[in-house]
Amino acid sequence: MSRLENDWKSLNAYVDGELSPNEAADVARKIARDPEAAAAAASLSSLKSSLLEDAETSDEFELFPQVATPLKANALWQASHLVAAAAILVVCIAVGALYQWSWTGTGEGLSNVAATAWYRQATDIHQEWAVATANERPPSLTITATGNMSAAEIRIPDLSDSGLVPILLEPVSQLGAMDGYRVGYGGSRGCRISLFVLQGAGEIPDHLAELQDGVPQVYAWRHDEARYLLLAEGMAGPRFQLIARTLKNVTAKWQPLAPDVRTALQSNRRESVPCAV
Amino acid sequence: MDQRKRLESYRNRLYGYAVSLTQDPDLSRDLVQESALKALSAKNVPSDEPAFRAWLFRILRNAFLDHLRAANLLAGFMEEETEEPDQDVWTTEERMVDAITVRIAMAAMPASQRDIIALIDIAGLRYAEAAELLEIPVGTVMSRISRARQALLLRISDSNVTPMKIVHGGRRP
Repeated sequence: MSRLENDWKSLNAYVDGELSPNEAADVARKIARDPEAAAAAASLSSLKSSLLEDAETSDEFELFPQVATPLKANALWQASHLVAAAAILVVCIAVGALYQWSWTGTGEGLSNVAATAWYRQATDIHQEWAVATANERPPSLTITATGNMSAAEIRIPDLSDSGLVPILLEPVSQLGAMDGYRVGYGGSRGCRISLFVLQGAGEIPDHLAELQDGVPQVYAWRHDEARYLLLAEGMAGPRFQLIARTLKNVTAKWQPLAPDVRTALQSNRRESVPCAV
Repeated sequence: MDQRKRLESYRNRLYGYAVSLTQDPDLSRDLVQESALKALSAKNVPSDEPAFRAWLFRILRNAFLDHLRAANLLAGFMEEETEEPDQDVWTTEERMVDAITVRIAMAAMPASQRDIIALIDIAGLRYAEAAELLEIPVGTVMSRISRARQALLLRISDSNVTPMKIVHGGRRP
């Protein structure tokens, strides 16, 4: 088997979230170094998104024709109760998890946020990019001088289940006293989000560690030496929350998304209104 | 969520998978409705979502295979696509991919390749789940999906030619 074929298979497995953390990190490094690999990964991601998008816009029809309603009512009754119990459990777990999230509306939180110089810089970068690319239909991957990046390790979380594909990877320097890179994601319905991955002498103010719903929507966190800042605008609140939570978990362990998380991202995206950019 | 609502949440993806298999909207609707009714009347329904999803798409795929069997077309579907695309796969990377183009290219693909792509990308199965459903090793799923996507991207690149941008010169805030 040729090296090229192995690379292609690995790239497919990476996009599908099927690699181990170490394998995924290897592929992510290759993507960061090699524009050709990055473009291929973007094509694969958009292929997945397009297939799902097309499937989700199917013709309306009745899943259960009227004539079928009375069929096996007793069996249905029994099954539905079992499923309902399981579903209630799942919902309870989900609701409990959501409540553990601190959700702050617009107001005091945002005024504190605005006072942070490096955060303002990051916001300007995100907003300038979001406006400039608002009319571009993803995917169009722009890789800006990745060869000069100082980050020891570049990783690009997979958000294709949420309909978002990486369309920008660029270095960021002197953001406060931190350096790193930014991954810009785009969706087919106008969504643009930025994930900053930063290292260096800088801290995340406490209030940024709470989910901020406003303009922009923001969430920041850290794992070990790395700081992460997520910015979006006009995205449905629950969708931003789920993406933020997913990214925080992903950046903690860098493991492929669990099936239930992928399902949740897909459902959440399906039920969300397009982004108002 | 009751069983009906749970099934309804998969309606579009079931239909998308069925269309990928059949390329026939009417037949796809029939197969999806038939599968939904089978699922609704089943006694042993998987409770966790990934298992439920794999189970549901297996029902649909079996319904499709039954349809082919009845029409004496099963052998053609089960033939594996062994031909390797002769183009360099990396040459397809600078192309735009959109839903319409993908749909057109998918329609021209062999059924077995449409099947594996739809199982992974529309049904959302993991490689292990697809391997179990297709009764093949996980490594074979990995090979098949990469080969099928390669063929699909090559078809797309023959019909859609908007290049992607690569810009040099980084931002320095």
